[in-house]
Amino acid sequence: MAPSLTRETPVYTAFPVINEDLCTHCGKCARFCAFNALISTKRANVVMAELCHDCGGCALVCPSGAISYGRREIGRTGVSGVPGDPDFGDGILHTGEFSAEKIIEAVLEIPSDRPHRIIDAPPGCSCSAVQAAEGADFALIVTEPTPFALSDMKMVVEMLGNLKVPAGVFLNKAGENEGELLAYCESENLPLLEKLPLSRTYGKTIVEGGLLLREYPEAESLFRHLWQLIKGMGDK
Amino acid sequence: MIGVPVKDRGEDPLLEERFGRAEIFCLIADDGTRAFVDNQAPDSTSGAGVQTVQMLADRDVDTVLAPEIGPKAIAALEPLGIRVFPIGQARTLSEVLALFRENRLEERKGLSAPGGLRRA
Repeated sequence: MAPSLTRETPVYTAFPVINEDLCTHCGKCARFCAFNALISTKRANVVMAELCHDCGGCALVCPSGAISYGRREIGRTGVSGVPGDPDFGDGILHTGEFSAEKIIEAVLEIPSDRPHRIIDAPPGCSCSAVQAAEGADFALIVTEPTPFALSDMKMVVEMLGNLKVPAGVFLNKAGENEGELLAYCESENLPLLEKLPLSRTYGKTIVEGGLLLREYPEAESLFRHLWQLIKGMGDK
Repeated sequence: MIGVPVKDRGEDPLLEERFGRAEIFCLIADDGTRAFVDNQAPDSTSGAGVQTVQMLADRDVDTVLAPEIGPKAIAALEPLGIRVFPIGQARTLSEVLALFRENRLEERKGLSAPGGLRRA
């Protein structure tokens, strides 16, 4: 798709700042923190800003009101198209950061009046995948007929079930060894919406940055059909 | 107090290669008295090294002898004034303590140099 992006909106997260004049080094903050972002000893305190998940708990448990929060930039969001009515939005996490949830949250909050929004979620069922899928009207599970993909897909199906997001399946690289996958879809009442056959020429086009639906008429009709099905299911 | 990650609680335990994920630490007091402590950190999903540093600091450890220490733990050790010595050729606790007492271990300096993880 190669959108031309203007990427200028920073995304911040917080980290604790300890006022040493007020701190009694009781250690309650460090014992509370589930992510080990604070070390508190008689000698000194250490704040590991990168480990902080910005839950606000350390300030709540601090008996002497010594903790406030600073903020730091962890990434940026970007949009392309008309300002106020973007046709594409994305986010980047700065190198070295490892918590993408706030970036995804910021991307999902990019204002848009368009009737439909397609969210490209991370694979698997990590926190960031949950963040991207939560609240969606419909989820398209893109998978392929391998035992490895099926194993991952089962976890994704469970995640979507917990999020109460209805789902359908798109089978990529289709053609062989589909039996186990199809049986699983049937047992879970997951509709198989479309299949894209395994093809070396498709692979080549994608590696070169091309779009299948622009270069192959059969792919265009396949994706049009898929979109009609998704709209029907998502609007239910 | 010296802290060393070890593999067992024997007379002369083998040294543990890991730091934050080490299950046992041997603490050696200035008079040579030894005590073994369980490290709770291996069960944490992230920040095990940092949690281990907290545990050692709570027990007044001021010197760590360990083969490998992750970047986050390293970043936490320095501001607490805990000195770090790689273990050289030592394979057991008595070997590493002997090298340390003979001043044959080189202290790891410049701990604050940025590694893979951007510092706070």
